[in-house]
Amino acid sequence: MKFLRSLRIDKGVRTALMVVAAVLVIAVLRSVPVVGRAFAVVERGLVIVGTSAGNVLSRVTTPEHSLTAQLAQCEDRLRDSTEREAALADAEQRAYELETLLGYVQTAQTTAVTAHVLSRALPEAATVRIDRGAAQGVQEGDAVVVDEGHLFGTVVAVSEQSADVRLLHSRESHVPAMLLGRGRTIGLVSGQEGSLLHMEFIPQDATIEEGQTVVTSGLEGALPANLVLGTVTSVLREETSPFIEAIIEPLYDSRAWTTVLVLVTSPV
Amino acid sequence: MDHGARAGDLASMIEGLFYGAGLWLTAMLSTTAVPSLIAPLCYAPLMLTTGLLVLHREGVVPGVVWLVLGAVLLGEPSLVLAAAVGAVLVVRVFAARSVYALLGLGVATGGVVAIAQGIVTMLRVLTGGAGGSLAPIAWRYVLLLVLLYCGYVLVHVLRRTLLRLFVIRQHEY
Repeated sequence: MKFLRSLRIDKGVRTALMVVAAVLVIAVLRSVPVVGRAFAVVERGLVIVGTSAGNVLSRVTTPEHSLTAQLAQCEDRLRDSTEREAALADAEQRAYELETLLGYVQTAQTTAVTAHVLSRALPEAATVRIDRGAAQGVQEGDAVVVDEGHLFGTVVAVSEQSADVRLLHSRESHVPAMLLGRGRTIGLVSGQEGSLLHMEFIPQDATIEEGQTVVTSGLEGALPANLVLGTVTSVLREETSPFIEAIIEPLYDSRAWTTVLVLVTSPV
Repeated sequence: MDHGARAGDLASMIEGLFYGAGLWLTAMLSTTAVPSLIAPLCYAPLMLTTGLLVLHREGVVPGVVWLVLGAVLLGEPSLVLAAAVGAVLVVRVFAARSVYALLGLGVATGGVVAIAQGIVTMLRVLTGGAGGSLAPIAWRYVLLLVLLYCGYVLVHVLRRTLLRLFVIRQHEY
């Protein structure tokens, strides 16, 4: 301080320097494991508070008998039935594999690790930070799911105690997909504006209709097959184009979830 | 004299620490509670609002430092533009500490930032990259003005309460 005074620095500059110093001290303290964990608890609490407030506001602004509320109920029912359908298809697929590929040794084991959302990037960035990292076996490319097998996103960066998850509706997200119950990849699902997804590169000969459920095909990295992506809401066909495109609607709101499951391929 | 200077140093030290903690808390809220809210509330530009309030009340240097550090903490370059535009406007146009000056600062700075963000978004869309909608930018602008007004009222209420409780002295403001 004597040094700053000897430089005849104005009071505003001195305060600004103290702000910089304070922020640097907090940043350094945060890298200490104990303090980092305390910060994580506070951040998790703030995410839960924000999510709960958002859910309450959503309920308050939506009257019980409004069309939106009825639509939400229908979506809940659709989600339940889709989950059952996906589980059934998964079981059928497994049974088929066991019957036909006798002697096949499964090498890729998947374990689910529960994680909490610590922070969210700006809405357009579509990434969240979770409180599980390399120490819990989380790796880049691991799938993150919510509910009963709805793909939430994929892990894109990992540190010791946390990981960044790119959400499904991010424009950078590209997931090979297929229709539920069909055993082959028919397209690539990418994020687009808003919460809807865009499915492209669907061959012209593929049979795709509104209302069908789209799931992961398991073709990419650590993403298992049959994780629900959403339902087809519209199909865009152009006779001159070699491919069909479709709009997919996810069956959950990514902002409403604060606890997720990471499907870890190499558990610790 | 020396005693007075030391007291002044201590005051600016405490003030700096207070602002540092406030800045960190704002950054934390901007990445946790705010984005978890429903649209359009999730677009609330908390860091820009607090930065402009500091710029308006405390002067150019603390305000610019607040916004630039906020840009670093949140990884949002538009806050640096806001700092540059805001600093010029506070010195040349909106020097008064009235609510009208604050709202004028918000309209002008927020407008420049919104236009810059709009141009970047449109360029991204035109070049086939990962674009975005203009709606969040518009919402952010509207929410900025609402939050600035609420922030102004809150600061006044807080100041009056602290004066009444003798936590701060009249001549400090």
